[in-house]
Amino acid sequence: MINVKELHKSFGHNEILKGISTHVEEKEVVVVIGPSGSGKSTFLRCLNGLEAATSGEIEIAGMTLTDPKTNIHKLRQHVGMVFQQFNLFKHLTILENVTIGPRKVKKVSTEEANRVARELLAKVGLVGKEKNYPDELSGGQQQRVAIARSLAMGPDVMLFDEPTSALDPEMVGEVLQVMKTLAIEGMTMVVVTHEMGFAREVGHRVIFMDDGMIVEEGAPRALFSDPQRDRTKSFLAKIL
Amino acid sequence: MDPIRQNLPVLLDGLRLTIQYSIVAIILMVVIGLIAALMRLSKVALLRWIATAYVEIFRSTPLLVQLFFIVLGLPAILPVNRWFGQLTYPILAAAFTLSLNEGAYVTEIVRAGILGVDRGQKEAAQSIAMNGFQTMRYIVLPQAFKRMIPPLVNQAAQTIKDTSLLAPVGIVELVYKGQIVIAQTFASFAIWGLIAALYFILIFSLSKFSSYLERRLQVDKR
Repeated sequence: MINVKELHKSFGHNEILKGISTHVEEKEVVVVIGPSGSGKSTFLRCLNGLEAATSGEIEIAGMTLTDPKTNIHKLRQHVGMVFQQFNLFKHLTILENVTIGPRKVKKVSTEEANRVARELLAKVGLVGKEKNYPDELSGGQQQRVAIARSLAMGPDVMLFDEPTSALDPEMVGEVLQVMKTLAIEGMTMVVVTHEMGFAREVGHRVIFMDDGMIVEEGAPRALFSDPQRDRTKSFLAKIL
Repeated sequence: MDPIRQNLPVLLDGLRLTIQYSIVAIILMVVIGLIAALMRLSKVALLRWIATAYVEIFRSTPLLVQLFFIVLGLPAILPVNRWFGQLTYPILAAAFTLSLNEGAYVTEIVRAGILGVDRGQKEAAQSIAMNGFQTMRYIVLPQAFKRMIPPLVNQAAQTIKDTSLLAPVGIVELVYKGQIVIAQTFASFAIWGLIAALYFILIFSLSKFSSYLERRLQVDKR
């Protein structure tokens, strides 16, 4: 589903990603962990072209993102993204937030888009909030709307960029629960997070990144209980 | 009281013309400002350069000089009067010059409004596969527009006042009519006072309308 070869990303002279190569299978849930500044968010943002790769190759959902001939808008229809700060459209209602993508990008009729949106909002536990505006909802509710907004485009892959880091502790659970449901239903997911419990319980594979490189990767149980590299050990010792 | 009562219809006719020029200039200045702002934010260097030059030239010279230059100066080197008509050219040129001048300020208002929208909004729009136009049209501009309303109303008030500068280049509007009336009646105190009052009523109602608009948007939270 995702194939990354020797991905490099620099901002000016500052090299953030120093050659990332990895592979994500269909229906696989990959959790990316690592200290802040390790490049994990940049890596995720490269996967849907929010950041352009400096060099290397990214294949995702059957398209080559790094090929300049690839239509990036076409590709993004297959790759959903959930942000740390939710980024719901402030001027639109909850229902409009979820329907605007299908209506304007995929040219779906309003009735059909509304129907799908109501289903998705029910799925993320937000029935009855359709007419509210984002700033009338709690952070946890907003993030669940953001997940519904992404799902409305019918993506093949979902990218999560620290989806619970901006939430109050009591709201983290409700968002993780929605993500867990998605994983069980077989969504391919790449999740950047500090929630080790989620990584252990839902993740099929954990990637530990530091200093723009993949230091170690493996099954959650193995990586958490028996890390092979010193850097992985010292990172896990600090957070577990 | 007498010179006012006698000449009120003439002055009201001038006011009508002032309102007409104002409406045309306000509509055009928003259109021009929007286009020039998008050009200033364009990836294409040439478009950015043209828009920046336009803004700087119009902001750094007096409106009155611009009006004299285009309305009265241009016909000296180009047969514009023949192209547009002896009577039409000054009117068209004056309205257009005024719009271009005000549009330069609107460009900066629109640009600041667009840049003030959180970057995350644009990224979210891109992440649901919107292209540049869709992102601008459905996400960025609607949010930018809300914060642009107060400075835009301010600029509209300025535009109404600036139409008074059309009189010196021979365009008939409120001030022009006033000067004619004064030349006939010598009642300069009363007539200038009345003209000021008419402008005041016009602009004061506009600013009242604007605070109503802002309040309404506040109530809806959007």
